[in-house]
Amino acid sequence: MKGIAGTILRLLYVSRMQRWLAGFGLAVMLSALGALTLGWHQATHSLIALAGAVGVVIVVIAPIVAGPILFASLAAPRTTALIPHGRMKLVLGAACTQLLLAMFIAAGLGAMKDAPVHTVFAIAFGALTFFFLGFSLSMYYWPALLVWLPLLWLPRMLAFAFPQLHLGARLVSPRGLLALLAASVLAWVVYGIHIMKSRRGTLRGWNTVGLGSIAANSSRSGASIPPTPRTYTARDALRILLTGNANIRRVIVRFVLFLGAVFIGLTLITADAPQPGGNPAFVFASTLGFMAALIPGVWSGVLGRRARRLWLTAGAGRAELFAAIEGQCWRLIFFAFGMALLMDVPLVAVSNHSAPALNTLVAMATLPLSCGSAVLYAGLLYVRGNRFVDILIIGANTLLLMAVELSAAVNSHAFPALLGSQIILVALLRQVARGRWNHIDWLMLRPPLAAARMT
Amino acid sequence: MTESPISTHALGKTIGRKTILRNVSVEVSAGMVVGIIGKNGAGKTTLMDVLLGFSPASTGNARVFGHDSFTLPAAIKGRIGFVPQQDELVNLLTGRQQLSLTAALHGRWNQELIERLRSAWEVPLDQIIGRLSGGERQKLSILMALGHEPDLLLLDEPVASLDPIARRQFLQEMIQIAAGQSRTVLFSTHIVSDLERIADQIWIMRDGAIAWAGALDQLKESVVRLTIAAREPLPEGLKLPGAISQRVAGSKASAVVTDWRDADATRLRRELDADIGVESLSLEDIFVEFHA
Amino acid sequence: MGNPPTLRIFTLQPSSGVPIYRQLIQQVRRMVASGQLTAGMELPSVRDIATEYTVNPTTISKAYSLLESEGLLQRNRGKPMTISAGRHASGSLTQRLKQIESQADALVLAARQLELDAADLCQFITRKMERNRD
Repeated sequence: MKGIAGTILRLLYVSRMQRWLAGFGLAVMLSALGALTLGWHQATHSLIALAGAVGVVIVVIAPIVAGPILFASLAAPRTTALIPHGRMKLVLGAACTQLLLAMFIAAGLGAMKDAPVHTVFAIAFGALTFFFLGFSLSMYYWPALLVWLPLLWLPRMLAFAFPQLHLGARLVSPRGLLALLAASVLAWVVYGIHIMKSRRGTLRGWNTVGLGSIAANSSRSGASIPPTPRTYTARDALRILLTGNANIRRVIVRFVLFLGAVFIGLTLITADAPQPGGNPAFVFASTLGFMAALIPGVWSGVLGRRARRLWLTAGAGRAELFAAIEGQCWRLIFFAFGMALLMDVPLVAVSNHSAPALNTLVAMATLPLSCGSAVLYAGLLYVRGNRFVDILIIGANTLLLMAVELSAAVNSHAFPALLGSQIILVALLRQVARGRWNHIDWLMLRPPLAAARMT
Repeated sequence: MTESPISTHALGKTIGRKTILRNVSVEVSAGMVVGIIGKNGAGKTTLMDVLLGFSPASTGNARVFGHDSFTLPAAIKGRIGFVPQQDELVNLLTGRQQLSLTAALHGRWNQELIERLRSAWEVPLDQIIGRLSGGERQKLSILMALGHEPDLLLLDEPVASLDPIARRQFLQEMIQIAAGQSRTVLFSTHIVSDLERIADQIWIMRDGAIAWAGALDQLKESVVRLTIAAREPLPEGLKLPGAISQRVAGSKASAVVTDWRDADATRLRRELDADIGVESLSLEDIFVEFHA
Repeated sequence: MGNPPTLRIFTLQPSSGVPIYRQLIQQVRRMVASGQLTAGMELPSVRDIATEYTVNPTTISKAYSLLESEGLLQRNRGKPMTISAGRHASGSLTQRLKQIESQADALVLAARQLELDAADLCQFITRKMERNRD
């Protein structure tokens, strides 16, 4: 039993960042709850409830996002195979964690917004299961990422595509919920068996790119090895050593192609269905750009850690390395943006709705650049370890990111304002990151999985 | 260049609440081969990190060839070679590419040296680095650091993954470097017998501070084990000068002392009216005694 | 000039408590005293010994310098060090006794622990010396 409980604890709150966020979120929740119970501010009731809901999200977001990563690092060591039923305990622990999180979400949202608790629970558990398993699998077989991420949009797309089926109503019926729960449990069982039987425990190559294991594909990676010019220029050498020769462009292309294809397909399917909201093609377009631009943005954190090896070998100064990383990531953001734009053309073409206003188009074109750079500089400034201020900044940045994307997707009026504030934030983040980089201490920039250890 | 390769003054490093280095003041002259020994967590890796400028000193300063470590200019970095404990090789490249890339970043590169060592050490250069064994990776890391013939070479546990033959070959290469008299080598290792062969200076690190720094020869001559056989029982509160450990039982005693000089034997013999047996200790024994 | 001796004439133990330079000095002295190394013989270079025994050249160089200052070795510009001719290489009585002082101390200590007296010990030693001469 100790193993399972220990796993749960670790997955939930092993790192300081998670604990800080949890504390912060709980504080927000409890104050919102208190305000609601005391019946303050009847007029702003819904706003307080929203704040409480956001509090719930803050508490659970860190374990949700970090859970699969921690789980993978706990499952990787060979010692796990030596502990009796070690892996089984890990899987059970992970499943229980998702259960607990789902219950917490249900209870929290139920208290804030009077949502039907069992519905929320079942949906939350299903969603968490799906997210956890998808993310975990993509860490071992990175192509799974291409399938799993786009599937996040599947429910909404299906609802768009087949409104006559009333999929939403069917889901929240008792039979629908039970089916969802059963499917989730079954998924855990299958996953558990897979983990226990799996012989490949190591995550070799995790630290080369940050997404999945590329070392396993190294025998086929002929395309990513430069065609052996015996001599390189110093600039090329710096670039290759910094990026670890990882072919991120290939990742972006595959991702955009796949996601774009899915979106195009769905646009074709929904062509004749009545559209309650705005034109879904533009939802898809903005989502495509957003997701594609996130890839290089996230990559900046990995590059920061890896820049250490160039400090001495390349004789590069800290400012120089910052500029190199920034340059690399921006080039990729533009590349991702370009690829997304290319994909948007057929996407918009097959949609038979009128084009939106010009300023909407411009705003949506700026979206990937703005969001990508927000993640880029957030990653670059997170170089001092887990400090509370940094966590706040990352949290705020993430929230703004989601707000921008959501407002673009639902074509809200707040979109331009949000985008504008994001651009200003990006400029600020860059200043902070650059300042920090002049004093970067590579002893504090630990590798990503150092926090999760078995003992 | 008359600047000493390494010079620190009251160097300290603290992260959060943990003090990893305290009050380290050392000076290294050109041509020295310094061996750093210490338990895990004694601060050896951190010391190298701070010396090379990866990390700023919290107190005091560290200078390499006269320049402050944290802001080393590119020209000075070109004279330094470093083999870190965790290798910094790119898993997606072949060894040959990794070496070519490193060569491109340095103005000076001795390809013949690399070829000679590569064949002697049997380092596979045409395999993807991600598929190499730990020992092969370590050998490749060492090659990367030697190629540009640095004036200052720092190695952090460079032979941890090497078999005895590979270790011996590595030591022989270090000796060739040392024989030149102008290049300085600093390396930390657990394998004390290797240090006894090729180090001329030893730093013993304990709890983030340097417990002993000086010539290996002097260390061996000044830290000895005394076996005392007196005619009458020895006094109760006997405290031998410079003793880091001692045991007294009646008229017999044994102690490990530092700062021993040959002349001390006669003096002690007269003072205690006893026979003094002086036993010199291997470096491993000395290390153990320092941590007793 | 005699043939240079093969490289492996010394026995150097890096892990001994005795520093390498001292081991080398002691061995050279003994070999000269016993006639194994004769005047004019060339000694291997510092680099050769360092490479052969895988030890730091500085310590070999130190030993050679000390032996040279003792008068036992002679530095020849451009050529290897040689055993110096002329002065009786084995040194005065006091010097020779000093060389075995540490062994003598160890012997005396052991004898004390076994409760042997000086007379018995001296007889024992004398017998050994006579036997060894043959």
